[in-house]
Amino acid sequence: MKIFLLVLVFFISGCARVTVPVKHSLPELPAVLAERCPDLLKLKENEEKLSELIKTVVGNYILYHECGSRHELLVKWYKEQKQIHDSVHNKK
Amino acid sequence: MWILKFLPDWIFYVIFLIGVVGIAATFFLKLIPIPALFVYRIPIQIVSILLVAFGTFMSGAVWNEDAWKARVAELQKEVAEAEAKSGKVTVETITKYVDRTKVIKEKGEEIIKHVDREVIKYNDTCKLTNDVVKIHNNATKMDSK
Repeated sequence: MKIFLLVLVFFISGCARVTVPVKHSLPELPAVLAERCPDLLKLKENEEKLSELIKTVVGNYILYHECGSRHELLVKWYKEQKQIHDSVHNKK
Repeated sequence: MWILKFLPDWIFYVIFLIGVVGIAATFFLKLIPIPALFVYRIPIQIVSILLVAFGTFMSGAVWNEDAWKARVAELQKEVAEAEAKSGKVTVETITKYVDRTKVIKEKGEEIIKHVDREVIKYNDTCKLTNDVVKIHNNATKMDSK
């Protein structure tokens, strides 16, 4: 009986499943896309010039467009990287 | 499987064949009219069956090992392709970001030049009050006070 059990264990060991030791991980986020959006520009105290107000507002629009562009590209980058990763590890 | 690292694959096929030959030989032993030989029939049969079982199992293991090696090689190739593709996407994204930022800055500078040229004329007639400055600066911090 003991020998039979030993033989059975030996045969069952052939059924052991092994995970393929190959991995693909998501790459590091590019540093330029990970930057925090800067603080908005402010007017100098006691500023009287209308042109300075408009320039500050325009400066803030520039910051908004830069940050928006960064966010849009970050989302696009992540989606593309996930698609590539899934094509290797989560095939349907 | 560890044993496959030390022994060549053909040994297991030979073990299987020895087992088969052993089992066949025990059938012929009874045809030989020497009783001394007949005594070894049962031990030879047992050993042969064990050899056939072991040979069959190890042949399966060799086949399984080969299948896994093929899968690993296939996956390594896929991972290398994915890494190349992923690097390309990162470079393209950074390039696009740098280009877009450049365009935004250029357009912004153009608008500021226009302000310096046109709006500057109204600086004397339309002066900002402290309240305007305060409201603007508070709004940048999303502060309503």
